[in-house]
Amino acid sequence: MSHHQPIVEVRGLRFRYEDGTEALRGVDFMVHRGERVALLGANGSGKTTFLLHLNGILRGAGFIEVCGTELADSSLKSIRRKIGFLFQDPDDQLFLPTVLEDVAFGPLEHGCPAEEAIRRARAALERVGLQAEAARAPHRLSAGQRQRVALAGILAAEPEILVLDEPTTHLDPPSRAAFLALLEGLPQSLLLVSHDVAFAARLAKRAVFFEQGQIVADGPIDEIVRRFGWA
Amino acid sequence: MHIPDGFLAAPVWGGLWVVSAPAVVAATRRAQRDLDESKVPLMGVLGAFVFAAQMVNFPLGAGTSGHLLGGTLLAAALGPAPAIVVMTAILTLQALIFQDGGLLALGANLFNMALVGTLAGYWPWKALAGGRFARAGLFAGGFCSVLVCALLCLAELSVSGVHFGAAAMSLALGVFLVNAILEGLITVAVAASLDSIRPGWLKAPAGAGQPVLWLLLGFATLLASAGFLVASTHPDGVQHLAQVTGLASHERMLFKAPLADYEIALPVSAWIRKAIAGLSGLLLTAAACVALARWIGRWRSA
Amino acid sequence: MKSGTLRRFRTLEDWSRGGSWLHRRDPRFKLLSALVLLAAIAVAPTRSFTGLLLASAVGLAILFMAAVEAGLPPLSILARGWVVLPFTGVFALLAWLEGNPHRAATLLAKSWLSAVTVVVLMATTPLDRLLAGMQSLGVPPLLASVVQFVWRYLHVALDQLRRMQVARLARGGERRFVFAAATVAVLFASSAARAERVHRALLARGGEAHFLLLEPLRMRPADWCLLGGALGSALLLTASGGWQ
Repeated sequence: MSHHQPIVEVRGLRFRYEDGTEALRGVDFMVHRGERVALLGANGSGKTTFLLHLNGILRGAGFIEVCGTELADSSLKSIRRKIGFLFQDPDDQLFLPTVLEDVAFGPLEHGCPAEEAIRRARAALERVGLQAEAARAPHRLSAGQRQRVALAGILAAEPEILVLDEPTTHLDPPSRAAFLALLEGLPQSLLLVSHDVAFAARLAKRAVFFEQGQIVADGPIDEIVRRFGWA
Repeated sequence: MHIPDGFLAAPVWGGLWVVSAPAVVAATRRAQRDLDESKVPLMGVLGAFVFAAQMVNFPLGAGTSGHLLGGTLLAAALGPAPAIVVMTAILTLQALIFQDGGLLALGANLFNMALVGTLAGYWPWKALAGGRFARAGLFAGGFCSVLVCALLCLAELSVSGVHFGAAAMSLALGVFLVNAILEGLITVAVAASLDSIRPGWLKAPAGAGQPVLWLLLGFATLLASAGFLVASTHPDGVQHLAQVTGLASHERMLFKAPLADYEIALPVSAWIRKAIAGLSGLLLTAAACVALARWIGRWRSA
Repeated sequence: MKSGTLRRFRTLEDWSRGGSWLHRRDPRFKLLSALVLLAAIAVAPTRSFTGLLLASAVGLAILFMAAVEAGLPPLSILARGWVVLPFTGVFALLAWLEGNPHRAATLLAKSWLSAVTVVVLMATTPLDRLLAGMQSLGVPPLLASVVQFVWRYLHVALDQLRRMQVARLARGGERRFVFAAATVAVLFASSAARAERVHRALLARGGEAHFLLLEPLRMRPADWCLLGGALGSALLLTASGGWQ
């Protein structure tokens, strides 16, 4: 795949909830390999709804292509393998009895044999600095540690794109700084929804601004922040 | 109402395991069919909710408080089969981690609380859901589920040889009646609050209506459990009834045979008599109710 | 609300991840051994007082030794048996008041020993391995998964409950019936919303929620030794109970 082909391309995405509210009114979006983009905007402007379309959890009208494959029922599984989605509350993600099992879940799901899955899981845990907690139950860890385990779980599956939905909400400043350091060192493309503008600016140079289900601005993050008073 | 080990007679806990285990497996299979693929997280998280909610104190004044059992809420939210599975999960965890209820007695506790209790809570709801009396259905469901659990629990203890004097029995029944009313009230109160947060979450099940049939079924369960209790505490009364109706001769053959061939030194005769009496009471009442239900069903569709 | 309860059971969880001989035994055999012992305690004919004492002593000794072997504090393990006191105590008291102290003692001894047996089982077997063992013995996978999920999210639910109660008290709300009902309703709605989010997270990671064991169950000769030991102890207990 050439550098010029986008890793994510969305054209004319529309989505309406069951009760009729329009959540997305025609979104066009493009990300290239290696890019990091921050998604900014008010609560309810459609940022999370948009992200949930990228791996097919929500299905709307329009064109979505991820890593060169168009999103369809048949390609859901392979696309989900390529997107590492980190949700806002790690408790929603860590459902297995021990940390190691949860991190190994991704590789196992994608067909790795048990030893390989465990090896990848341990490597991912080391990456986030939690290899010592491999045998612990998730509810025994702090919020920051759980968020890191969730990240390890996604990294173990070796995705091509990372999508993070407000990852720092439950983190205290030291955990936030540690998390930032972790993310800075990762090679994957990154889509980040965050209300912590300072955090987002450290990671992404480009931002898009959502307003009422549409992207109304796309450009350097400092400009967007200044233009919309988003600090 | 979680019976620990050491109380029930071997045939009681053994027999109830024989009944409960296949029933739970059947409910699991049914649950697999009923809910879609998001079932496991939903059942698990709602199960955790009920488990946690069971620990909430509902103050009644004068320093006392009541607690929720939750079977009716679960059945209303998930349907009867998934609710049975979730209650089974909760009771199993309570037995294993908290030693709340024994492992041998788990079969009996499952029978009382996860199986019959849940169904007794579901049928009144199904009967009245979607109509003007939906709240009454929830109350009746909560009330029946707890009362039925209590009756069955007392009956099983009675058959196992735990002797209840008249005073003790009245006291126990009084306490359980209050608990049952409480469960009904809490269930209705929670559902009302829920309606304001998320209207329409507790939807009426498909095919609801035909209130008479489902109400009768609920009533039948209640009556059958009461019958079981009465029979197990008054085995002679049932024997008299059996003699009158001509079943006595069969009964005599039934428990002469094993005793004739085996010299058992265990105190078998006493509890066998009670067990048979209890079971006959249960079966007689259940049969009468089912027959009545069938008759009414036929009459209505005619 | 029982806030201290979960703390107690964190200890149980920690204990369950030890590495003693007993810990390393196959969970299916541990479960069966526990059931054999429970059955023995339940059916032991303790008609004479001496019989009751002997059987209790034998039971106590077996459980004490098991705790010591597993590297657990034996007195703490035995003390946990007293959770049965509320239920058993009532019936024991009734029996005593009716002039049957022997029956009272029997009830107390049997339910206490049974509870301790389960504690030893759970203190030497992590819950997920026990459930995997049960699944291999025929428990439906859906049920085992639900048990895992309930346990996993119980802590989350209790945390939320605690926070809501603290918030309510901080706003000056007293403990009232309607407040409790509202709290439970909010917890219900929140749990339902969480279930939806967990489902989405599962979808995003590509899978269904089956619980894959990383270390498969393996039967070893030592497991049969354990079962044999349990059977022997069971016979000893039953026999000693019959002592006149």
